[in-house]
Formats: sequence, structure tokens, C-alpha cells
Amino acid sequence: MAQQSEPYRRITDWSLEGRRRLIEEHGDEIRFLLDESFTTFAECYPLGAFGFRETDDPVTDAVEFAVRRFAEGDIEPGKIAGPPTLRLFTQVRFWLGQKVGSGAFHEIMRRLSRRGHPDQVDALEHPPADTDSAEQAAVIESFVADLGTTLGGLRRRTCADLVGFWLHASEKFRARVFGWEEAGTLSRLAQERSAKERSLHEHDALFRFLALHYQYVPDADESPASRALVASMFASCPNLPPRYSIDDSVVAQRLRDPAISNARAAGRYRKQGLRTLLDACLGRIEARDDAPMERLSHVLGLISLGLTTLHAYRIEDDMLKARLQALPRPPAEIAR
Amino acid sequence: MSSRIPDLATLDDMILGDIEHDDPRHAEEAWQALVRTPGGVEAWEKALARRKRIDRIAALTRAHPWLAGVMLVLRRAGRRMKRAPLFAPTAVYPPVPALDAILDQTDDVARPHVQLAWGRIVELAVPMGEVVALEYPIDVEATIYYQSAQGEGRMRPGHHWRMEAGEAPVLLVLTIGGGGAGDLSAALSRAEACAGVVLVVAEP
Repeated sequence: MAQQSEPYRRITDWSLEGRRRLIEEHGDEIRFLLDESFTTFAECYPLGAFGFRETDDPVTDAVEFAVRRFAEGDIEPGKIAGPPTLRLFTQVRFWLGQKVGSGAFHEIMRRLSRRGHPDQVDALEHPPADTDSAEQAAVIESFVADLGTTLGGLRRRTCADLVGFWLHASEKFRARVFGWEEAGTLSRLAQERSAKERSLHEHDALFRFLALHYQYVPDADESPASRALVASMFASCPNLPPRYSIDDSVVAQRLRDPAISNARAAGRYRKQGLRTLLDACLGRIEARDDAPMERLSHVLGLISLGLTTLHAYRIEDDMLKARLQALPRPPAEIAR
Repeated sequence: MSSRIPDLATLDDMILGDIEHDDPRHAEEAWQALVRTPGGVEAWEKALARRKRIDRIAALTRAHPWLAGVMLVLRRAGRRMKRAPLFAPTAVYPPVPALDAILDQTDDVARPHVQLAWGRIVELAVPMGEVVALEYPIDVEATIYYQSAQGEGRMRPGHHWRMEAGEAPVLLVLTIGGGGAGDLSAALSRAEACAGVVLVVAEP
């Protein structure tokens, strides 16, 4: 699998002198990255709300603020998320936070967002269908919290493309649970793939999300199979198809585990770990629990697993196949 | 209970995987909003496309720093535009033969193309050896400039650009009202409108 080359220069010297030198040497590049990022932001939200001039050229005003702040301000690399590279100059939220403070940033964005996000569809226009009781509403809220936590975990432990595939694959289910009309349009990411590729990626995303949601992803220290599985499929990975995971050869190098000495061993243990995880998730779905939260998780399980899950991971296992075929079909209105 | 899709800047930090580090409380709200609100799929996809685009451009400007400088000048010139022209030029390959274009006898085969945006720079991946044209209404007086690591200049009217080995990236800029300036910098300082396209080599 091809590795992405790093698009951003590293910032190696964070002293005031080092930062000023960086701007002297790479000022055009830095300003261009800031300009591109602020321009995109300003197409949706007024920079004037953050104190930049509304007349004249607020984008240039914002760019020069960021450059001055970097050159003169108290910026500690340890407090910055992400790699210490020029990518920092593409992160508008960071610079607007430097301008007004992160608390004020959120307040301003809340105020601006009431005017409407470009992609916003007001959830209140379609009130939830079956939540006329406080208890049901509480279950839904709890489920939202769980899904949100898991989605953040999926991003941290894989990559952004998989989050997109999960959002698309689960849209019917979420629309039904939360009571809105799903758009039903094919996402751009999905359009770039053949139908078969899309289906494989979506099943991959659904399975990894489900495993995280059920909290069945093993601790890496349990066994070689757990270590290989986690290091490959539940670790932040390059946003690169087709596998969206860490290469077996890289896993073997990183783990320095005598049992996982090469790519072949890593691949074998990874598949073993996958089978165990799939078995656990199937077990949870098969042992259906009728408590309200569990019912929602159960239905999530039904839409998340299928024979395509096995195809996505090239697993040939008659027992797993039989169990997947035996699962009840999800309700028609949320079936994919 | 209402919820709103996270804003563009927050979505970008979610895509980058940075949001929990900076702001754990708002991170929780943002992920929940993405899950429960209609429009989340499209919002995420658009944010992802924006992030991938700026990463691509960053890689280009890192490898070719001269590109950053001229693109910055074009962006600032674009913001000085009082009004964008009503048409948008198109970068396309291969070009339609001139007579066919005049007689409106273009064939129906879709040619790879990208529409330029006034005051902005777009990208177009072109296979080696292909000829690229910037198409715009025949009655418009425009000047096209080129710039690459090898040099810069003004293209002769009707001239097209052939992608040759070792040249990419190549910046083509269409200006209106530049007064026929000899070089791109002078043209951008005087142009009433400008739009650019960066040509990169398409992967086989």
C-alpha cells in the first residue's frame, strides 16, 4: 500500500527566534496556507465576528494576525494537537481561538450557526417518531451519547474516510431512530468508488464501529492476535484505501513481538483476532436483550454485520458464515 | 431538543483527529451532533474534501515554494475584484479545434475539464503529452499567463499548453483588464478579474 508523503514541513525550532526565522524563510508558503484556510471559512462565516475588518480585506487581516501571533506570541508546541508542522497554519479554529479565546470562539460560532450552517437541516422539523415518553427520550439521549463517543473513538482509532463511510451506511438507521428524513443521496466519497468497493468499505466501517460500540476491542496486551488486530485495525492509520489500516509489515516492525516477527505472522494473527472479535459481536447480537438500550444496540448490530463483512476481510469461515446468515433481517425501513 | 451540525472549523479538527486534545467537552457535543443531525453525511464529506484539497495544495507548495508566492498574489488580487465576470473559463483537454468551436460543432464526448473560479486557483491533473486549453467566450478580451519553475510569460492568443516531462506544476492564469502587461505580477496588480489553474501530471 502506498504511503502518503508528508505534505507539511516540520517546525523544529519553537523558540521566538526559530519561529521568526521560519516566517522569513517560508513566509509565502505559510501565508498561502493561512489565506486558503481563512478564505474557505469566510465563505460561510464573517471574519468580522472575530474582530477582523469587514471592509477592505479581512482575510489578509486574519492572515497577518496569525503570522504576527506565531512570530511573537506565547505558543507552546506541547499544547498543540497534531504534529508540529506547517499544518498548524491550515487550522482556522486554532487561530481564531488565539484571537478571541477558545471559549469565545464557541460562543461566536453558536451565534453564527443560528443563522444556518450551509448543510444544516433542522432536526426539529421532523420530531422523533416514537419518543412520546420521557423514558424513551432518555434512552435515545443515552444512545446518542454512546454513538457520539464511539464515532469519536472510530476517528481516533482509524481515519476520517471510515467515519464518512459509517455515517453514510448508518444514515437510514439513524434517521429512523432520531426521526428525520434521510437524504438518500450518494456521498461524494462514495461516488468515487465502485458499488462493490463502497459496500466493502461501509461494512468495514460498520464492523469496526460496532466492535468499539460494544466495547469488545481487546486490550492490546491480551495475546499476539489482540496485539496484531489492534495495531492494524484499531490504531490511527493513513486515510488510504483499500484497507484503511496499518500494513502488516509495519505492524510487525512496530510491535517488536517475537511471536509477530514478520508481515505474514502479523497478517495471520490479525485474522485470528478478527475472527475472535466477530465471534464476540455475533454472540452479543444472538443473545438478544430486550432492555430498550440493548434493543437499539441490537438493531445497530443487525445492520452492521452481514456476509459482506466476511468478504471485506477475506475471511472464509463456514461457522461464521452460517451464523451471519441466520441473523434476522433488520426492519425494512432501516435495512441498507 | 435541537442540535446543529458542527461548524466548518470544528469539523476540520474532527477530521484531523485533534478536537479531543483541544476541547474535550465541545468534542463530545460535536460528535453527538454529527450522529443525530440530518445533513451530517454531506457536511463530513465536504469537510473531508476541503481537508484533502488543502493537503494536496500544501504538498505542491512545499515541493514548489514559488507556487505559494504567486498563488497568494492571485488570491489577494481576486479579493480586490469589484465584480466577477458573468462567465467562468474552463480548462479542458484536448482543446476543441477552433473552427469547430466557432461553428458550434463540438462532439459529444466529455472531455476532462475543470471550471475556473474568479479570484481562486483550481487544479487539473493532465496526462503527459496532453494539450490543455483555457476556454472562454470568444468576444472576451483576456490574456493568459503561464508560470512554472522553468520560467513565466504570456501565452500567444489561441495558444494552448502541452504537458511536457519535468515541467509540472504549471500555473495558467487568465486575466481580464490587465492591460496586456508583460508579466504575471504586473498583470495581477492591474487586472479587473483573474482566475488560475494549476496543472499537475495525472497518475497513470
